[in-house]
Amino acid sequence: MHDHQRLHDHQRRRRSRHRDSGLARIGAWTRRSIASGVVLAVGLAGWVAYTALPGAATSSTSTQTAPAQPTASGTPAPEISDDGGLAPPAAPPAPQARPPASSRQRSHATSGGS
Amino acid sequence: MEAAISFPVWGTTARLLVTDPRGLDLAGRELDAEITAMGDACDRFRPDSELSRLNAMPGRPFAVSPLLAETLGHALRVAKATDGTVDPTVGGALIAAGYDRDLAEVRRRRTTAGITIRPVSGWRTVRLDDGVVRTSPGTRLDLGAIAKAHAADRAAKRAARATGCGVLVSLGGDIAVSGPPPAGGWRIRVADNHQADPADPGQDVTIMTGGLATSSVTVRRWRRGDRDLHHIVDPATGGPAASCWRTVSVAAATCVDANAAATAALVKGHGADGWLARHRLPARLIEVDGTAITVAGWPAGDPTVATPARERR
Repeated sequence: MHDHQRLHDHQRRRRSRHRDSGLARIGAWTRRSIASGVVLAVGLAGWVAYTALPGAATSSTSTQTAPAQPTASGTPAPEISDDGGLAPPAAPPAPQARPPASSRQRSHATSGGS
Repeated sequence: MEAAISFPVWGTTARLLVTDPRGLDLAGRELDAEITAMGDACDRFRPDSELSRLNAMPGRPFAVSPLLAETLGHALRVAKATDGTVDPTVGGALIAAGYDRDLAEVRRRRTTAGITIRPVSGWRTVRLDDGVVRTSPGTRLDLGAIAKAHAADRAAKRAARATGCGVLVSLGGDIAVSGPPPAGGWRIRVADNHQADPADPGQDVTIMTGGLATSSVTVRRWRRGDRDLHHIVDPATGGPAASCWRTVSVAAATCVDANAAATAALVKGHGADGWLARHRLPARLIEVDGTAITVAGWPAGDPTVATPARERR
């Protein structure tokens, strides 16, 4: 009789543990679902807010030119200095070699106020 | 043997040169595309441009295209780098001075109205985050000079990449070069006016890479009421800069940086030569009386300069 009672208690504790474990899994799944839902809702709200901004519709359909690419020649591409300051040239301008006046070459371009 | 084309754009002149004549047509198409894209984004004289629509809604967040965001990003960068002397929030000041349309129309318009000068809101009031711009109420942006220089940089690079040859793009005298240069480098005449006659005072130099730009208070001028005005605004006052220099030319890694440095020097006035030298930006500054000063390795003493240059370090 005593053994039977012990067996009964053991089975009851086992069923209780099994039930608690199942409840814990359901609780964890519920919390994960709620968290995912919150993240999705925030993302959706952000997207809706962005597309409702003035100019957004235009920017999404405007035709854009290709971004700056390195030059084909391997010449160092223009750069922005590391600190965001104004970047000096690779070399300063050089004085033009002056051919005889009779055969003087025209300048390629003129830099001046416009 | 180089090939070249020139055509009017944005109230000034565009000039395109290539080291291989076979690349001229393709380079011209690349330049056209860049000019069209930049005009759609940043032309404040066009009511349908993105910038005009942004300016019509100050104080409200406005999502902009990648090109406008990139150009405004440069404008805010150079504003910081020039201690705020080149500021994109001068749009309202230019309009108050009557510069609200193409310069030829501004000059034709006869008005006795004076101008109202007030300080600008300042570049620090502009926010650019993930392609969304926020300006303070009353702010109107002007990206004219930066957009022109940035278009030159972008067009030169994309044309050189497309053609594989050397390319020079000049937009109103703001010059960007890319690709392999011609033998001896690109020959540039530096003068007060980019449409100067070869006989006019100036200096001939060569560059191999990067950009070269000139800002001047002698060319883009008009009259309003009883005042002579020009387009270089001092953000501290909101009025035309009262500079001791009439023209400044600067060479830099890009046309954008050269243009910003040249304009900053005009606004800074006295001390600009030292500022340019500290930033290792080769420059030629012309005082109001015509005296030329060169800094940071810019060649001095060209005999074609009307007034002999002197080097300051």
